[in-house]
Amino acid sequence: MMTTSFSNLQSFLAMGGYGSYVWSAYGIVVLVGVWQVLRQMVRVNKMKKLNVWNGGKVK
Amino acid sequence: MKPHRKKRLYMILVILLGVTLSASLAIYALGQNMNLYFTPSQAIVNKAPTDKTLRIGGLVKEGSVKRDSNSLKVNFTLTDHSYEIPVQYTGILPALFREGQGIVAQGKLNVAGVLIADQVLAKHDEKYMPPNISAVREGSE
Amino acid sequence: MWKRLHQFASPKFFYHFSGHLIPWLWGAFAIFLIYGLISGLLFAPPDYQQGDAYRIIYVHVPAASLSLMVFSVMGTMSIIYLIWRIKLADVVATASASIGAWFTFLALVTGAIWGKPMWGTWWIWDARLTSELILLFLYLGVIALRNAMKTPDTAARAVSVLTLVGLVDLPIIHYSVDWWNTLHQKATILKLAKPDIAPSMLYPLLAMMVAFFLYYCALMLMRVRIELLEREKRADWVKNILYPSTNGIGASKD
Repeated sequence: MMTTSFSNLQSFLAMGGYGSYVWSAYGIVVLVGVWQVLRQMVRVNKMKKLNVWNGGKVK
Repeated sequence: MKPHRKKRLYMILVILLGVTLSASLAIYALGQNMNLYFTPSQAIVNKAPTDKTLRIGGLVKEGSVKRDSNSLKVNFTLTDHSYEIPVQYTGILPALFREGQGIVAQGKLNVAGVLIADQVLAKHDEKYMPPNISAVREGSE
Repeated sequence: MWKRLHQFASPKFFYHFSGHLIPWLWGAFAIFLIYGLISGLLFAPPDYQQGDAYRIIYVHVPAASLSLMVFSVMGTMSIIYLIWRIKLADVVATASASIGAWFTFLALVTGAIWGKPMWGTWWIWDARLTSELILLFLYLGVIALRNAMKTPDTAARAVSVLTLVGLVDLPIIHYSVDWWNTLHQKATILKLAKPDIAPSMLYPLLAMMVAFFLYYCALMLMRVRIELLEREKRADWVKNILYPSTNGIGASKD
């Protein structure tokens, strides 16, 4: 019942000849998605280092 | 709700109403210009000018595609089932180009009413299905 | 009821509450994402017309629908802020703006990458693409206006009004494919009739839409928390927490 659309890795990467389009679309989404989360983590770390707020808690 | 908040709410409603109204008027004024293409009927009934670049959108008529054997020249006919416009195009066609497909061709009409196209774009419909299902559906029709 | 709502909207309470919520959101996001990606890329059949190129739908449509949804969230927050002056609403709007802008950017870019092999062009000035581009400019305008204003309160008011004005673009984007003829096709899922898509292709798409929504919630809350802490440095709401009698809004019993 559950059969994949692709028989092997090569045909999966090729995406029926549209591989460069499909993978670049997914690539840019992943890139932006990961980068946005990392940026927020960097912001938190910077604030912790500056010690503007004590140990990560408002209390 | 407190009176000053009610006042703010009315202000918001006025802003929203005003913006909607002005946007509708702008869209109404733009009217046909917002459309990407003319159908063959619109182009023929309204006697589309021959000196301006325009886009014609329609279906590629079954059996109308004639490819030149030693160049990229291709002739086909766009139809909306009431009027037809012949198209001549030289260049690479999009992957979805085929008979029965929705196509938007851009170019100038010559005196004979043939659209000399410099760009041919394929339109696909909003339906997504596996190849075997579509074959079954087409067969049952 | 109102008391409970105000307590919920108090920066301190919301800071802790969202801190507990975020890990669950990321967990749920991971589940939907993994299911969506595997079923969409591996198990969903190719399309009868577009072959495997249609698989871009699994990132394009979620990004595009989130670009609309985030702006409508911002619109709702603007109305709440303008009427009740609840600062948390403005913080949520602030945190949402750049996320929404990125969703819009991704919708446009993945759409271009999809358009090239299928339509034959990266870009066309049809009503759908143009109105979505205007949405990107609205997001950028909201962000720029916020940065240009010095005092947070005037910024919040100005941004809220601009967001209200921008709301008019949302129905235009959605109905553009019905009101005018466009190269972009009509709606597949978001319409009154049954979706025109095979179930094996639809379920991964729905999963990816949920995943993108959860991503937005988690990232937005992360930004809200940072924004709350940053505003705390200079704004009055910390004082409101410490001395609850000074101002009704934003104060909590502590």
